[in-house]
Amino acid sequence: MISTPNFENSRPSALSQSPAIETALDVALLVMENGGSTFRTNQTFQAMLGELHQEGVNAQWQLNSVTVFIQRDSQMATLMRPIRAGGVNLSRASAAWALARQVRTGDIVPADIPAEIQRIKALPLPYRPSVMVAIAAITAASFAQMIGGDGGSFVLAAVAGALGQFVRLNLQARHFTSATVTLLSALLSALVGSLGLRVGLSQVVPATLMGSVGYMMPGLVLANGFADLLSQRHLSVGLERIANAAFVFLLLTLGIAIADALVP
Amino acid sequence: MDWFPMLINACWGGLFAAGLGVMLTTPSQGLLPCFACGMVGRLVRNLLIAGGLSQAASVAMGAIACVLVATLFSRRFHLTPLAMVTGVLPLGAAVPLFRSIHGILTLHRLQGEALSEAVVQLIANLSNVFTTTLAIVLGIWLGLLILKVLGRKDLLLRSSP
Repeated sequence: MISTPNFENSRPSALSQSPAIETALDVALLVMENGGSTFRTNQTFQAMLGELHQEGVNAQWQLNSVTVFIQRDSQMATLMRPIRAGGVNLSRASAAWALARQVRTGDIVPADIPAEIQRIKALPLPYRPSVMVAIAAITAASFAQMIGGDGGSFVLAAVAGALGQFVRLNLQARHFTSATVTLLSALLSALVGSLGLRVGLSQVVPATLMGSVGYMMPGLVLANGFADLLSQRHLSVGLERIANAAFVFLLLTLGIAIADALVP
Repeated sequence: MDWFPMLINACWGGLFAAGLGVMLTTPSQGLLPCFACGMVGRLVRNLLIAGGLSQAASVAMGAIACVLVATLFSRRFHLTPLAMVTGVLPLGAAVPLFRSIHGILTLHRLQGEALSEAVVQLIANLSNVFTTTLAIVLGIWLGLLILKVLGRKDLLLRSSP
């Protein structure tokens, strides 16, 4: 969506249709949409703009959109782009940041940037789903141990983590909303923990139940939120991210509470 | 001071951080730094608490250690500082946070003295969450400040998102 202050002409101005700004925005959005912090996204955008000789351009980042203000001489224009929540892939975010640095050092010419953007968009996740399931088991089990679990907690959390992650990946593949995926996965994992406690496999209730959902901790959201807050330039996005993390914690606790009620 | 249980607990913290690193799609070469950051941060926290320091101060020191370890690794591995910040997650007040939310959800069922006790417990848990979270943020900020004073902040900021 593009708007310009030129009310006499309903068509977008040439200022807001600069391919260089669009390209810089494409690269920066790769960082934002794949899990990068707002601070790093803006750095990528500014680095790209600098090397593409674009002056007087500023961006205001939000979690679901970006507004770019362009000012040159007496002309002004505004450019808006939606930000899609495409899931976390730090390999893509890293590659986009690396691309901005390559443009800065002259290792890549501007004409090659669109092809490079397409290559980055096609980068797969670094781990297979089966590996993610196994790692979820290890993460949940180690969290249970870290907060004082016993041997039974370790086993129960590992099984709960593996099952929960398996269901989580399947629900994500079926395009369920993020909140639904988190709540259902947490409920399943906590049910496994509760059933194990019920049959006496462990005596440490808090560590078992919390450990069983430990693999879904909103770590990156929290880290990005704090990074945005610490940068002091993206306070509102930082607060939004931290509120998102708190919402995930609420869903995880709801999952535990429901499982606890179902298996008294 | 009994070192061994604290070291084992720190290893679990490191494993948890590395596991979260994988869940966040950190490249495989980033998992060792994730483990090291998580383990060192948790170990510093455990040692300082055992030494008599308050929990908040210990967590802040653990977070500082985490940032410093992350910086040591960032030049060699060119890794994302965000993924390495998974190292501070074992320091977090996840358990009091869960207990707080659970307390809020169950409070309405209670009456009389049980209600009073639960409210006190809830306030204590919320206070723990608040101070621990602030301590982590303060620790990261102090860590970055130390790097800036040493002229090494660029190392962490120059690496990937």
